[in-house]
Amino acid sequence: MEILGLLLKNKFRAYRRYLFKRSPFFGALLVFILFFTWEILPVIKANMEWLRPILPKIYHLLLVLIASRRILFSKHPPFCFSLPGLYFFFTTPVNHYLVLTGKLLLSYFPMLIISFGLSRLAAQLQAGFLHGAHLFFYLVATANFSWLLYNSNSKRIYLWRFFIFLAMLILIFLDLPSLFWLVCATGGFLLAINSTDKINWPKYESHCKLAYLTSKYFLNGDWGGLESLMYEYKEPPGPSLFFTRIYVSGYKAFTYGQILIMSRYPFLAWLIFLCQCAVAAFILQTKDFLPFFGGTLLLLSGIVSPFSLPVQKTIQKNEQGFFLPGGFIDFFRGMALFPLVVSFVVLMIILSILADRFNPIWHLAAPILPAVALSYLVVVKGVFRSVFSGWFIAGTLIFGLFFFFIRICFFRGVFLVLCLFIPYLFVSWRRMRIIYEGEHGV
Amino acid sequence: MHLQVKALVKTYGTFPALKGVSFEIDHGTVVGLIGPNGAGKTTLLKCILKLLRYEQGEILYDGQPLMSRKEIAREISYIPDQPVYYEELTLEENLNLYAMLSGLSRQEFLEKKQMLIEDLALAEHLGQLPDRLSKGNKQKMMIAMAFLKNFRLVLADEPFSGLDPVMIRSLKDLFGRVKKEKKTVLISTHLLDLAQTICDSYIFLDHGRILATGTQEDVLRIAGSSVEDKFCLEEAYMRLLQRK
Repeated sequence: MEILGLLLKNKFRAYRRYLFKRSPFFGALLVFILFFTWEILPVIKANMEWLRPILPKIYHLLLVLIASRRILFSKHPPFCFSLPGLYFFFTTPVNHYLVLTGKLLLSYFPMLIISFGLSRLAAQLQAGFLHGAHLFFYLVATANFSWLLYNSNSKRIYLWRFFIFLAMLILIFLDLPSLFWLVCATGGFLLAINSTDKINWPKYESHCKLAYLTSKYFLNGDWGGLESLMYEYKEPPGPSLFFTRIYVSGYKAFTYGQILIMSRYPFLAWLIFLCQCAVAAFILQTKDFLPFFGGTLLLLSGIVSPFSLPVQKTIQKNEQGFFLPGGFIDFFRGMALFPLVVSFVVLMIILSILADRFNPIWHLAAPILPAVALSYLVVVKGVFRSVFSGWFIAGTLIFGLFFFFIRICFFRGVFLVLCLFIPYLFVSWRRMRIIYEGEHGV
Repeated sequence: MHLQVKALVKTYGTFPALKGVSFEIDHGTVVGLIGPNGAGKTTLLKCILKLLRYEQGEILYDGQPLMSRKEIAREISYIPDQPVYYEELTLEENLNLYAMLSGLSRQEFLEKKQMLIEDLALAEHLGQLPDRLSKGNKQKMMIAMAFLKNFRLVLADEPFSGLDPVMIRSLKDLFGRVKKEKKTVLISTHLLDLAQTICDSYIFLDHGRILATGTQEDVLRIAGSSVEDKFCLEEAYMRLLQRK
């Protein structure tokens, strides 16, 4: 009992600390959920007539998704120990069989809450789909199978996964009574607790560490820790013949580093970049200042976010002792070159879309200055390392005005903004140079 | 490189980390920076590198103050206490990029890289992301990066931590080679036996003050041991701490 008390005390203190620290976040989340439920429930009720036949289908689809996530594509265990818990589990003479049983039973608790919540929702909507004990036993059965498959060392594991998933799929659509799922859940549970000797401990420990540290870093707001964890668990990239053959120096080395880092971005990052550019191009068709400015911000964030990260990292590494002998001018040229080329192409496409008539000289000339400004802002954002930096905000406002005047062909305005940009350029350049090269000792 | 540190004062808020530290390091020597945890060793190294601002004092490199990080980066190499690398790039790509940014010619880089990979047994880890490497292998990567560069002074903050005995031997050989090339080395370490085998002189630091500096004889004299005693760094260290 004393052990249980100490464990609960530890949990309670951890949750209290996180809740206190993250209370604004949890508060906002709660308000959002309540607001969403409040808004969405009447809409669903009002459309019950045509929703009633679809809801059971959506429900079945959800069950299939859960089964596929847990059985077909599952890489992680359905329940994890905390890192200290795992350490105590390995290094103290506790009854492993009993602890695992307890852990497995405790892992069913969230499923109980989910099935209870969904049952209440089903009752509210009077949709008549399967819920309550049926749903709970189904969730438990999938979790147990997931655990058994996770620990299986069969060479035909993919076949096993596929056949079990297929069986689940058929069983879901057969609409079997909850007693059947109870038998499945109990059978899976008995198999799971009797296979403690088959657990792949190194794999399990690694996944427990990942789950524990991810939630810990997230709740502590430690984004650096999360990033480091991501790379720790990321598969190494294959050998790149293209990049290993290139050897450049001077400012080109910075460009090389920037392109190399960006080549490792996930596909999703590029998809977001393209979507932002496309939506921005759509919004920028207007000639009203405020919506146009919003579109400019979207375009700016689309270009600045991915390109400024390597700049930011290099500054960070330099401050931590990377010690790059290249001067600030080399750094700036190297880091601005690639964003300049990409910005030019993107702006040329956007301005061509926006143009009323085709004029090749205008299409080539118009994007030059905005592209230069954009690439400069990429370096500004990277060096000052925050979108809320005064330098970046000031630059963004100037760019917004500048781009708007180009859009409406108000050249006196363009000239005026350029006059404003020169002192900004001078002062921000000086500040960036100090940050890059370091302030003198005394 | 001849390094002079004169009356260096550094505080963190109200906490004094360095209280008027002064010493000199002759060129072509290997110097051990020794002191307990929190003595100010890392702070001192970071001040020399201008990674930290200091309130008072002067640091001269060959009699001249080096004012910018760029100038320091050309002359000094650094093995930090915490590994610094690009997380997205593999070990090999980190080495390549570091060499390019450090301005090494391709030929020079390839020669040095081959030598360091062999000396530090890094060949099998070249395609790995650094975050997936063990602590010792990360440390070896940092050592390789530091020795890739052309430098006149190398500052090493706990370079032996996490290394196995074979790698400690390799690193000792690397420092020996550097010394033969008449380059200066300043090593911060807790491993006193190891320091005794590679260092020509020592700086003992505690609570931001220098307790003793100099060669073995100088340290023995200051620690109050007789010259006839067999020189033992640990003994001298303990005596100095007790006397304080």
